[in-house]
Amino acid sequence: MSMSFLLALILFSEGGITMKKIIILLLLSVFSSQLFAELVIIGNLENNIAAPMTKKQVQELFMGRARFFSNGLRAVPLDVSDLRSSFYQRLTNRPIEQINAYWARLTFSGHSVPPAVLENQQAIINAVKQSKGGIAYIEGDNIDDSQVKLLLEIK
Amino acid sequence: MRKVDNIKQRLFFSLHNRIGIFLGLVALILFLTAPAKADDQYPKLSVKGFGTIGYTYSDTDQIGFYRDRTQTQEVKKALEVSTDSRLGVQLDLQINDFWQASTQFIVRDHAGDFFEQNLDWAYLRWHLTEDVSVRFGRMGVDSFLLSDYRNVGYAYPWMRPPHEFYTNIPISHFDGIDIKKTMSLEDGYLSVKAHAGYTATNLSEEYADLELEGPIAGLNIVYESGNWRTRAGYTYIRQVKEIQLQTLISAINDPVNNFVIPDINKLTPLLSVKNRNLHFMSLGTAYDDGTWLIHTEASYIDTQDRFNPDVASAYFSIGRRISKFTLYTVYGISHSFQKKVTVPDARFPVPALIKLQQSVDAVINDNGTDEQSLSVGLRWDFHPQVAFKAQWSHYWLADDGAALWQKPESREIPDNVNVISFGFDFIF
Repeated sequence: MSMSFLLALILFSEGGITMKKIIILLLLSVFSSQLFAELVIIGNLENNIAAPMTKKQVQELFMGRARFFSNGLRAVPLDVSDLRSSFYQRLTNRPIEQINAYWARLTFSGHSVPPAVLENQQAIINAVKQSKGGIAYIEGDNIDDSQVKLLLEIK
Repeated sequence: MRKVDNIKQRLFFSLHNRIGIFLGLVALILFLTAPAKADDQYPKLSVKGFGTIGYTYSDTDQIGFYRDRTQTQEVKKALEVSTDSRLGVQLDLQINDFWQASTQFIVRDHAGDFFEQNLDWAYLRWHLTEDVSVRFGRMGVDSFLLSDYRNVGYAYPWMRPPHEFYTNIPISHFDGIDIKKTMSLEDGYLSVKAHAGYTATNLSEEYADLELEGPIAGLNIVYESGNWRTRAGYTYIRQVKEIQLQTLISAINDPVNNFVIPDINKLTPLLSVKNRNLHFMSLGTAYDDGTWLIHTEASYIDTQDRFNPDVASAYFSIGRRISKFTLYTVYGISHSFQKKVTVPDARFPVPALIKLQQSVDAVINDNGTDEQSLSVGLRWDFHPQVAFKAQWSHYWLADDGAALWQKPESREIPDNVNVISFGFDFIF
């Protein structure tokens, strides 16, 4: 909504369509694909869990409430540093400070530890490929079905 | 007087302390010898921490504000950095899918041996099954909603846990064992935990002659569902150490003193805490929907001695998040139940006798709590790992009701105190 409003504003503002505006639009579309890209939850190809998982199941694994997949496999959730905020905002509808405070409570009271954080999506894909219980998230555009299993799409 | 009769240098730790420290060292050795491996392989070590840099100003020089009865604050009107500032470091070593070793050390103002009292955890955890885990070693006492993370300012909205409620719960750890079972119930999770062991806590200088020590056992139940988290807890402690009041006891049992202050020796049984039972009972709930935050808790501490009188406490807090800011207000109340014991007056107005009479009166009758407070504050999450907080609290204190404060020898306490504080909470 806000994106199309922005586009309309740029296109129909004074002076009609100019080169400068087209460049701005192109830049915006690149930018927006990052902001609004779909995130996908991925798992190891050998994990026989039925896909798609429910959002609640994913939430339980990433929020430390469950340690195992419903098929009994020990889950190894992993975070990606540059997508972390946007992932938790979509999964739990809360900003990252609240997620960090939640984990501070659980970690420093000895209940459970948050997912390990990896640097980038390639590292995440490699880690999920290597770990049978691995579960992580990447941008939808980066998924390759032959390497990892798609568990859930979240918008 | 109540001041320390003999300041004990704890050069030799008792057995349970040694066990805790031993487990800490085991965890440390495991940590140091653990080879570095890829992220998803064991053993996996993490070093994390939390801290607060906080300044606290109280507008009275009559009594001293402390956050915890284990602090060593002096009575003065000044900007204090030691009240709320602390630094915690935690090592977690995941040995395999089933075993984990954890150590937590919190640098803070705490009476007693710096290393031993500030070592909050050194335990091994064993996940027997997905739902059941057992811990051995030193661990936190978590009978209350916030008690196992009361030092982690980043995890709650206020500058410190509500004063009326948490200042009176000095015990933060024990050495022993606990077992926890978690199960799904309806839409949430129910966990039941039983613990047993031995605890020893040094109290602030005013109570330095009173060390809380003895066997501890308890049970707590937590139910978490959606935005709600509710906890009911019960903890039992048997006090095994006697309060160090020999000087006073021999003074009132002196035949001459006992004649000039008639029958003052009959009060001797009151000057004892040994073999008394303490029962801590509490019920609390927290709600957080991302926008609104509510915390409320009530407790009753049942004791059988003059030094920790029976006390009922409760608080209610509500906060509202607006973007990166959280505005909150807290009301707290604590009221103890203890009948005043009349200490007979001296037959002759001799200063030494008056002083003795007053000392006995203070020791027996000045341990009550009769306090209420209202606080308003702000938390600003300006960084994903750092929050700024500012809080103003107004305290109302009734007669003989300042057990949660450092009191002067004059025994005069103010009716109203304002405490203003601000600081930064961080995690790493």
